[in-house]
Amino acid sequence: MTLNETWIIGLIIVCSTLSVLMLIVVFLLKFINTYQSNHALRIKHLLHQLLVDYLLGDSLERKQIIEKIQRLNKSRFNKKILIDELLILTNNFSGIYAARVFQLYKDLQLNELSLNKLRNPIWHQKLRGMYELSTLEYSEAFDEISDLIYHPHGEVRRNARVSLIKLKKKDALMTLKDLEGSMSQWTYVSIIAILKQNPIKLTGDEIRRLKSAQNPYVKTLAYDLEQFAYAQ
Amino acid sequence: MPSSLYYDIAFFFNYSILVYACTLMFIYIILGIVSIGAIRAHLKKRKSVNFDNLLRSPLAPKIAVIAPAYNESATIIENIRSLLSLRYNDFDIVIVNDGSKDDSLEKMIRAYDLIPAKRESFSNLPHAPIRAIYRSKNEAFRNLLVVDKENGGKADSLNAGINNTNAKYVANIDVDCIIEDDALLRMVEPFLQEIDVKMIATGGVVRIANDCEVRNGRIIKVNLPRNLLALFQTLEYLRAFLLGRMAWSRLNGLLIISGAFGLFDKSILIEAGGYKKETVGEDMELVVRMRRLMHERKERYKVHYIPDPLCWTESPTSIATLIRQRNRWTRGTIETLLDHRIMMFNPRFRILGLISYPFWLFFEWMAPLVEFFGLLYFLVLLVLGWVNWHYFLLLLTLVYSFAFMLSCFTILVKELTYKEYPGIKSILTLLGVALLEPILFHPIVVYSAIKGNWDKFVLRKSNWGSQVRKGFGSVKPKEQIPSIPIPKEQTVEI
Repeated sequence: MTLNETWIIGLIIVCSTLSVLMLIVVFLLKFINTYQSNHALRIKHLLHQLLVDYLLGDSLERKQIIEKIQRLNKSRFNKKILIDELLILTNNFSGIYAARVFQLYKDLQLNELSLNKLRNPIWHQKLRGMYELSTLEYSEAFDEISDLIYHPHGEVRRNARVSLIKLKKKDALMTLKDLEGSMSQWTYVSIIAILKQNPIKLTGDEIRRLKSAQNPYVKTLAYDLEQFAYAQ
Repeated sequence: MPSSLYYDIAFFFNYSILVYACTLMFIYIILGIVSIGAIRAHLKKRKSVNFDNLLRSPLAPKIAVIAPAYNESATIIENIRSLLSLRYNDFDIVIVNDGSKDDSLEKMIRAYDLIPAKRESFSNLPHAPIRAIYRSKNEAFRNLLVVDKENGGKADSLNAGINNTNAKYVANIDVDCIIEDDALLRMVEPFLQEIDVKMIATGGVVRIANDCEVRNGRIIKVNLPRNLLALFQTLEYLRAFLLGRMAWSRLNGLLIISGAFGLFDKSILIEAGGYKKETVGEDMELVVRMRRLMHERKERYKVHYIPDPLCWTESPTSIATLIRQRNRWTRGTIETLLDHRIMMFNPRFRILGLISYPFWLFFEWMAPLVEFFGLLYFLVLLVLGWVNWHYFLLLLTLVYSFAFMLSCFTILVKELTYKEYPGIKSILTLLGVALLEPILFHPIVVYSAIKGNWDKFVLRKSNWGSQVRKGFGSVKPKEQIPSIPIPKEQTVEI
């Protein structure tokens, strides 16, 4: 057998072994995924009933339901499902129901879970934390998020700017007034859409201050805001 | 007895083939690793992207969805309805009737209350004469525009569509594809996110829709095809889109965005000269030309690929149709590579000239030729009785086991990322397909590519050929649900 043939046989063995290993992983993943999706379905079904009762119930009923949810909410996986459900509810409801969803988020201390994600050094965890905190409007996270507007990772930076607007609209605009560097069109569009949906009152002086910002992007944003978000 | 000359020749060929095969395998491994990193990053990011802001924003840039149609009478009404229901704030649907010989235009006029409208041309890309422009009287279809023109082919129709829109971005699609309802939002996002780099085009993953459940122009249940040929293509598409294109996108060396669905910066597209009518691979040629333009201008730019399945297409289910399709793809590749040969190993074009172009030349165009000549060489040796069976079988086993490993890797990536095909049965089916593919499907692909080379260089063929389409069927026997009707088999000449 030549050296060449020995190499080929070696490569065949490597390929075959890797194939077998990958297949084992594929089947394991399939079983885990199937188990998890069935489990998620079951938990979601239970949560949906509890959440409806929570949103429509009186204060006493709500307390009882919180206890029930807490019992259900022991594993990290279940907490993740609950946060996802709360995010959907927040996107679909406003007013008193949105306030109740937020109260539940705080009562179950899920905000701590989101804050831990925000403090996680991994960029996508930060992103997720920001997304949860801003969607559920946990305004206490404002300062921690504002530290991220110059984060080296572009995604974190961009999302931090939009999240700030969601949390404290006017304060965020004034924070962004002194922004250094550029702003993507995505950030623009998001900021204006948020402010259009949840208008705040900006005084003429505040608009003027924004228009006189050093940053040309913020300046343009101020003109766009005037045109699209505050056009009366 | 073989002479010493035989040994020299055999030594040269054996080692050449081995080195070629090992290089290709090495590249695939690198692409696979790069790809999985890119997909994971995309999925991590996707969880926290809120498209609702863009959906309701008055500042969302306008997109024109341009769909050329030729003799699509059987499905055109449903296809347009599906396109009109895409989720985006500001978009137009531009249907270009490419001189259809059937009643496509009449059906559109009736179904959507179309009336002749004033012609407004926003650019001057070349195309066949326009007969009329139609808009709807019905306010519900105010974003529908139908351009009726003389027959000129797909590239010609796309140029006509582009000229007739004032949108900032154009999404060029095949009218018979099923587009996910949030596809425009996902495709436009990279354009809006980039600050310092100009995004010139984005592409989405195309998946096989044969035997999927379709309702109201949307995929509601993903199934694996029942036809073996379509199954082979399912695995092939998964491999090509999940591993190949995603990796090239990450390296910013992508040379092709599928003609079935791509979003382009219209101004760059126009400056590059629009679609080239004289090629059958207009999708690849356009991307290469746009990239070349950006390099010549020395501007930083990107072509981005989104690994989400955004577009579903019907794959050929007969060998003859498949051969015609692959023949055309081969000719398109050859034409593009020849047109832009200046890029070959040209450092001015960076990764494009130094890696992407040579890869396409040596491994996309030439791989089937190497296989074919390898087979001829083997036949000569067989006739002369000079075959080193031991070496031959080892090499064959190596190639087969590598191909199988790559398919296993694809299935693994699919399970880690997009788990569209449910159940263990789908995994077992795909594994069976992976085992059979190198024996049953690959020879057809190689034959088609050889035929493509023959047609290009010997017969000097330059037309598209014909394609038989069945249309998408809905599998829902228990209840009556309004769905895209299953048209009779029709021959579509493009």
